[in-house]
Amino acid sequence: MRIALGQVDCRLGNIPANLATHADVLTAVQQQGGADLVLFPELSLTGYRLRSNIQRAMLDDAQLARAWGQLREQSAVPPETCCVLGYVELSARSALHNSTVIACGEQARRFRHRKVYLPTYGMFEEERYMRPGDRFRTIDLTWGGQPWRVGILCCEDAWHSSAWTIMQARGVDLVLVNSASPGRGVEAERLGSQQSWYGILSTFAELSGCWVAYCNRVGFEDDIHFWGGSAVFAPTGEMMAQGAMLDPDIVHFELEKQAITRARLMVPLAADEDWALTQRELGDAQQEILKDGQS
Amino acid sequence: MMRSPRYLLNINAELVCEILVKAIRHTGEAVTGNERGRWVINLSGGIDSSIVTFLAAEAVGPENVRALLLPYRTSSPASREDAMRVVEALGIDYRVMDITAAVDGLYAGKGLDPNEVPLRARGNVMARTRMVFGYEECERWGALMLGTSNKTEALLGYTTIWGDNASAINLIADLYKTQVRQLARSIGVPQVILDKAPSADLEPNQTDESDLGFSYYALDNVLVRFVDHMMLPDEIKAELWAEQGDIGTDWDACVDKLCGVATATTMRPGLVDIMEYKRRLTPIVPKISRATIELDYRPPKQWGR
Repeated sequence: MRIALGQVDCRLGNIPANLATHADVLTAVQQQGGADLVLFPELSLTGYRLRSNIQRAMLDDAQLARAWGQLREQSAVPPETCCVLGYVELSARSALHNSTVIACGEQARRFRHRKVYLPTYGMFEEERYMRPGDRFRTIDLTWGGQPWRVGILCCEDAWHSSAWTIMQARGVDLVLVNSASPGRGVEAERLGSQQSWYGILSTFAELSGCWVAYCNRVGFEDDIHFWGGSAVFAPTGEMMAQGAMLDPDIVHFELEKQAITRARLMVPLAADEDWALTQRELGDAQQEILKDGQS
Repeated sequence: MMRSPRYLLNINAELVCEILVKAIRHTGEAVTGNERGRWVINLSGGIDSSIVTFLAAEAVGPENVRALLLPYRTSSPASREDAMRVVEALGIDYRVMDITAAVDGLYAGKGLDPNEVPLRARGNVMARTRMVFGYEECERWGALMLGTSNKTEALLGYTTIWGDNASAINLIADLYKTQVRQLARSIGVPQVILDKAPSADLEPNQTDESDLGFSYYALDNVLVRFVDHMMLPDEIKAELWAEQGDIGTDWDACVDKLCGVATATTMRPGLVDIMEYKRRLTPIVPKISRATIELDYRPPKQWGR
């Protein structure tokens, strides 16, 4: 399974310009030998910190389908290549979500994940403008004649170990993580945000025994910058490929399905997992929280 | 986790440079459509404006940076010499403009004798006059104003509101003074500028550290814990006495001054609290409408860019 990470910069609310950037990446990927899936960063079509202008950048399903159609026209993307795009979704119930879709051929929405954990602390204010999703699901896709169970964790979702537990419980083979991670913390060799992200992704790839593909944005929005450094982690936790820091880049990597089996036979964490116990204990802990009003 | 004493203020200078250089280019692109757009810097010859000038020259090329040297009649000639060292090291364009006539003329216009106004108060007029000189230069040269305030002075309000803190991008305002020094050392700012004591240059022998009552090292160690690491004043005192010991700084007094005092019976805000009004540069706007600027209407600054 050949993956490409489209580490792009985005323009705030400028969807035509962002579509053109995506089209350039898809065309370049094609020229570089193609890919089964191209992963773009969080909110890649709209930009990240839209704030009061968010209603000027949101897309409903029809508008998303049009944008996807435009992207297919503008680029050399073949119908079998899946693209993972981020955007502000206006739902049928008129709620805004930080959404990610897997678009394939005629289908702009083969699969959609609404970001569950919207950070609203410190510099983040996502839940001020958007509503959280309510599920972590996976989709079964076929590449190279092999089935792949794929899930999406959008940025902050990947900082919740429970999200990884659910992915593992669902038997995921590949977790796609898209982010708009601001660079901060310059005390050491690596950016603080980079250090934390790589630690988390490597650890959870290993603990879940699955492939993890991470695509992070670059560029600036007002006073914040995004650091890039997109990467692929093997089911052993090892980093297999890494994109440029701070500049746009395209990262290609071929994921081997067999590596998942090997990792899980060597360290059978998922097979050993006691799901009944986990569920029981979580239920008990939740009862305690509810009883004490500590939630 | 044990922290080595200086860890919190360490910076990866190379990485910081790269981010700041890109920030200059991005702002130029977002505001004027040109990544290599022009910048004007009021260059005092101190470490802050010197490093900003170095970064600007790196970002857009020396031909797109113009330094203004803006002495008042009481300014130290040494400051001007230091500023010229920066200009010559970078090969940038510069103008020397004496602001004495403008400053003294302002007082004359108000029927005042400038010599009877204390130098500290005149210093605010000097800072605002330099701001006007800078923006006027921007107007005619088609440039943006590059700010030179650091995080320490912004947090302590050691700045003239609408004066030296006025700019299109305040490049180093997220770096404490001790971090600015680390950055300057790595980027090749002339040694004399690194070595001299930071000063607002209003009175002979005036230094920032004597004005503020504590060394930048002490101030920054308190501020980084209070602001960046969300520590409470008592925790900061305990940690600094334990980590730094007696280095000639009364850590209790320093923390009380900066972070305020809160006991069961008294509450006194600190300098950092009081000076917030100089940092939030949209003034207070009494809410009347459905969408008040900044309170409800909070668009990004760089829409579509």
